Amino acid sequence: MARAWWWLALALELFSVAALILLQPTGVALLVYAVLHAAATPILARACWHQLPRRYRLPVRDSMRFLQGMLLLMPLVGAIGLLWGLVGALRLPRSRRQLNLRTVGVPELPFQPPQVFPTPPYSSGALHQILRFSDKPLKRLKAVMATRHMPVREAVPVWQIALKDRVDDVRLLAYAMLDGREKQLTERIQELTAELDDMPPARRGELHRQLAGYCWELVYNGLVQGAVRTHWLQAARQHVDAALAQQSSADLCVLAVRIALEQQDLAAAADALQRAEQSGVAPAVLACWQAELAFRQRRFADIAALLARDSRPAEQGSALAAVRAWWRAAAEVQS
Amino acid sequence: MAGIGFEIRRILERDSFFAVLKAYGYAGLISGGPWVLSILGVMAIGLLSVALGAEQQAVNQFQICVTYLMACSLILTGGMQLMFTRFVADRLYAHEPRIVLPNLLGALLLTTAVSALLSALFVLLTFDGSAFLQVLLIANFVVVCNLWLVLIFLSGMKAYQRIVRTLAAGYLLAILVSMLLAPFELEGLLTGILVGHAGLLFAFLHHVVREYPGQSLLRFDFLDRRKAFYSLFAMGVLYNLAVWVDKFIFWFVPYTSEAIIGPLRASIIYDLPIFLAYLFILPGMAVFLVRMEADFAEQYDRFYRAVREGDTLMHIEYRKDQMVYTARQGIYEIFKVQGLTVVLCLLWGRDLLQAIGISPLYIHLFYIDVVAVSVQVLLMAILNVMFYLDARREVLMLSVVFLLTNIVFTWATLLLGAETFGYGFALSVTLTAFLGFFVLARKLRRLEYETFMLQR
Amino acid sequence: MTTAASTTPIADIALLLEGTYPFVRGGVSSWVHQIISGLPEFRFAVIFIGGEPSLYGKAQYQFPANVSHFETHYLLDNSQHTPKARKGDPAAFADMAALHEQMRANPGEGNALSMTDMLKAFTTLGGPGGISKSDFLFSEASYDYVSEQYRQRCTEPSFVDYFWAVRTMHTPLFVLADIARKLPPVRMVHSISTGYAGLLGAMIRLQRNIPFALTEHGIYTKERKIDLAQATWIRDHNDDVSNTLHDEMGYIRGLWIKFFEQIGRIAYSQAEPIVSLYEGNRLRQIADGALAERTQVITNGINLQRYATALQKRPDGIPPVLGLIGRIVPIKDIKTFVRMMRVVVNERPDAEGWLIGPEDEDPAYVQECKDLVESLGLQHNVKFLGFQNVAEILPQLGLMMLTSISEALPLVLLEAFASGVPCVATDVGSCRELIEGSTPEDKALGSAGAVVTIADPESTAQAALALLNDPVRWQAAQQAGLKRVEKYYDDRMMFGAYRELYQQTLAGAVAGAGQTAEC
Repeated sequence: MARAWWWLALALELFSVAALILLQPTGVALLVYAVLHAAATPILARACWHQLPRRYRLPVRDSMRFLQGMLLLMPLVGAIGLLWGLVGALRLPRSRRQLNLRTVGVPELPFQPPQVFPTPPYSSGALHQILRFSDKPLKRLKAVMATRHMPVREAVPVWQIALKDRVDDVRLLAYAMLDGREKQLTERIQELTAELDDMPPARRGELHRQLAGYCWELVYNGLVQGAVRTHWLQAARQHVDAALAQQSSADLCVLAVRIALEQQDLAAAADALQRAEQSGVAPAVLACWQAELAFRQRRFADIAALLARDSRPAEQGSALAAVRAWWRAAAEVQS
Repeated sequence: MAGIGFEIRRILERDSFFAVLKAYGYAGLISGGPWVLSILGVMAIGLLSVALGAEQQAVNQFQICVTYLMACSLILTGGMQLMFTRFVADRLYAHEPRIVLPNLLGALLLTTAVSALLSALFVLLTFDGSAFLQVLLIANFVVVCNLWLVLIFLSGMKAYQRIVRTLAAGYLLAILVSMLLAPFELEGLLTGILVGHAGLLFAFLHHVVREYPGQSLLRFDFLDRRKAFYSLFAMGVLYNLAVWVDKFIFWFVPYTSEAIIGPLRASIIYDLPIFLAYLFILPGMAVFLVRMEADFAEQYDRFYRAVREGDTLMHIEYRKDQMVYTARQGIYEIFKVQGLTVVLCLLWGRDLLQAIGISPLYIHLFYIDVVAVSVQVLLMAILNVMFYLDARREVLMLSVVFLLTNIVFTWATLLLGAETFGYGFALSVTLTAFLGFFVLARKLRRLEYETFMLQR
Repeated sequence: MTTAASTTPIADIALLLEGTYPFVRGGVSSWVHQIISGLPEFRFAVIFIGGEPSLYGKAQYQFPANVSHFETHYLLDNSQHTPKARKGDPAAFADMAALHEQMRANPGEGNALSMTDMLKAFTTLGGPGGISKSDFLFSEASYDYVSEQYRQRCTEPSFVDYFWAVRTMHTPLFVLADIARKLPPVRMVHSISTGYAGLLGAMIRLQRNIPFALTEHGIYTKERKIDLAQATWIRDHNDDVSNTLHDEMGYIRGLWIKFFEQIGRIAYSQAEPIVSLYEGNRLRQIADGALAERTQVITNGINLQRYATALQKRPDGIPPVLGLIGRIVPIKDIKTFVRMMRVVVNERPDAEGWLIGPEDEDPAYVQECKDLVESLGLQHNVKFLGFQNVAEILPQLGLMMLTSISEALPLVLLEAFASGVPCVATDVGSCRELIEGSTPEDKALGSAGAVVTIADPESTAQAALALLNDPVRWQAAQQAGLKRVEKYYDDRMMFGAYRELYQQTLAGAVAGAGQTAEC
């Protein structure tokens, strides 16, 4: 059926051109051409329309208007041109996904003058001391201000002290900073959770991985306490499990270990550790968590050996160094 | 939309003499492309068909028809070209590539409708040739108008080799078909050029449509007052009118012209030298594409990034100096390369004219025309910088000056006599270019002030 | 005599209101409405100053009959000025440079400018011989000055940030100067905050020589500082290479803070009297540059009759309902309330938490709170009731909670006291004074609830449980609240104080004007 229409339209167009060339006088030729061409137009337009990919067909009125307009007003070559130049091309869009390689020149260094601060910088311990013992509100306020350059995990205890300050401003600033940090993370979590619903289940692994990371950050940085903390830990656990169900990566395995340990779920932590080992995480990396687990499970005899495997550098006098020394000594006493 | 400039500049980075030749060869073909190629193509068709035994009169008629087609279509679509270029650039900058296709089709439909109506009115009322000739003229006009619009996307594309191949194929097709149909005289030749141009139009359209998939088929956002700049429309029309007005004057003043076909007249003494001269803008256009489109666009981008992303004032000023330096270098290089071309033309112009069988009487006109079109390349470079800086008022002013001086000076040369022919156009374009230099210099001097204080 | 005094005034008092009455509901707005309605013998002109027109809907309050004049102005509305290149008057910019130099020369304490300098600056601002708004926004001279200042002073890299900071900071001044010039004659002005409204008050006082009273509910400058310290629209340029712990804020933040400090000082220098809601804020004003002898405290009050019925309607016993009355916005720290409910419900599963207040101001925050309720499994215990009639809801509450991180003198506490509901509130603003009393005599009345630290769900919950589970303590707190609100926070006392304030100020103005006329 469709084919018959095609042939009819084509015939009409051919006849119109033939009439144009052969008929005399000029006026008659033009008239016959115009009538035949106009008759062929709607048929051709319909045929072209059926060839269009789905999304270009709607709204029908607009796309038909375009096809008819072009076919009618571009005499002689319109039909062939539209069919090949437009309809053909619409059916073969070049994928935007395939990114061409792009060479990028050496980026310039940031053009910024170095900052020189007139006041001497603080140390992290000094901030605690200032907040606890300084009499001057302005000094305490500035101490809170200085936490802007600290890692959140270290800044949270400072903010907690400042929240109980005598002076309004100090409390408010500390609150604003604490709340701001928490909000950043919870906002991101909310966005990602919303995206999760739109994603086909098979591709959710990456999102779960990110979500687990953000939930863990809330807990790890100490931004949440009590019942809320338990809640986020549970959320982190769920996301890490969901992510691990789809992809197995070393960092996810380690994260699962840390979450389980934080939840005091020793059986789960042991499982996660085993999984991490199987997925190829270096024993040296896992050693400290295994030691921690052994400690919680009261397998004290294993600890010294596990700690010895841990290859992280421990500075003299740091907590890690002290712990190692203690267990080494304990092992020697036993043997 | 300077994609192709960057691609071609990458050839230059290979740093060999052959690479330089190749890069500028491509650049010249693409930027001067359709304009120069159509002159060449039409000349070739003329020469070949005469050689094949067609009548000289039919060939003359054919050449005049094509000239008019070019002139009128450029004037008619000049406005839409500028306006639509800006629209596409804005949409791409706003990360809305999917809105480009439906608007391109909208612009094509609008152009088709307007050009078909106007040309049908003109042809049916003033021509008394055969019906087929009349429809051929209309079809040719509609196709060429559409072609100019699609060619906007050329500079944004990266596949320069494909573009050059397509251009070559299009004109070869035109020549072949014309030769086959040469026995049918004017109608045959016009069919040939129609097939060639239609081939180019649909090949490029095919390419563009595949590059920018859309969501729907037809939209008219480019006419939306909030997204469109109608002042650009005025500039496009005025500039193209200014470029052609001296030719029109020569065509319609009785003692410099003769009737060729229907209402179309031609000026044998004036036309040939100037179209020949246009062939010699290729070197300048090549430099234009690489230096202005690519280098300047890059520096411009860096300047505005420095402004937007919060750099120091000193760095913003440094970036501006770099941008000004690039613009100056570009203009200077065009000046050098076109200067050299002019010198070579002065040396060998006489032999050249003789070789292609044109009377040496035209030589002085040819000399001055080569100078004029060389300055026109400079003017285009200046205008291009101004478009980047969004100096729409200044461009409009220059377009008006160009148009008015061209009318006045050309008229004056008609009164002064044959030995001054050509000087009108040359003087006009030179004056406009000089004025452009000063306006541009002022614009660049006040750039930071205007960027910060007068935005929105 | 000035021309303003020679024509008949359209109102006795012009109230200068920044971003509040009559367009935005809230504590300050209802206070303004209360004052206007409570003092019908004075005629008021309401001058509203907002940011941009799009931020405000239609008026939320019906004007009482004694509002005889109403104007609205928008500080950041440049829509009437289209960018057009212009040179700018070099002399005017030189004057302005000199003025800035002078302000910079004596920063900090006291007033940087003399009265005559200030008067001259204000009259030329946007007026003849001075810099016009268009000159400021679009002229070459203006750009030259701003870029020169950037080169000389700005220690932060981003020019575009500096440029816009300067622009946004100064544009409102032109609007204010214009309001001051065009305001119809009034007998005195009364600004309900410092900031831009306070600056406008100072301008009018200087130009027309009429009295300027200032009442502050919060401390404007302090609030702006906290906003600015946290503002995300100001970019910080951290030096990643030498990341040390320092307290520097960045030049642009500092610029904004200095700006608000400066306009606060100008307002304090011209205002008399300077009223605060409670002693703590009065001291704060003095610290910020107000002369102690000009300051005074007038506390808020409520209409006790209205809440007497609420008291009568109370059921016997203590309903296990913890209510929070207020807009659902971050400053009220609703999340701490929700978290606290988790702890409370763990011990008293029958407890309920009611959030009573409009939810339209910050829908995103409301959603966050609702998400939190869900994630803590409190759907059955925490209810969002929306805007309700306070007098009807109060009898159903067992405890009134206030977890705000910033308050001045919250009326809801007074309302709760008057309806016989003890309160647990954070230690902000005058909450401690309200709950525990300020003077020894006041303190003797006992505690009307408990005061807790901010953002501490655990101890807030313990304080609430201690009251809920101990009827004796609860009764004592109820009685203390009732007595305290009757004795110190009756609105008749507030009206009386303001009536006296207005009468004295207006009388002083007549005497002052007489003196100048004699000279």
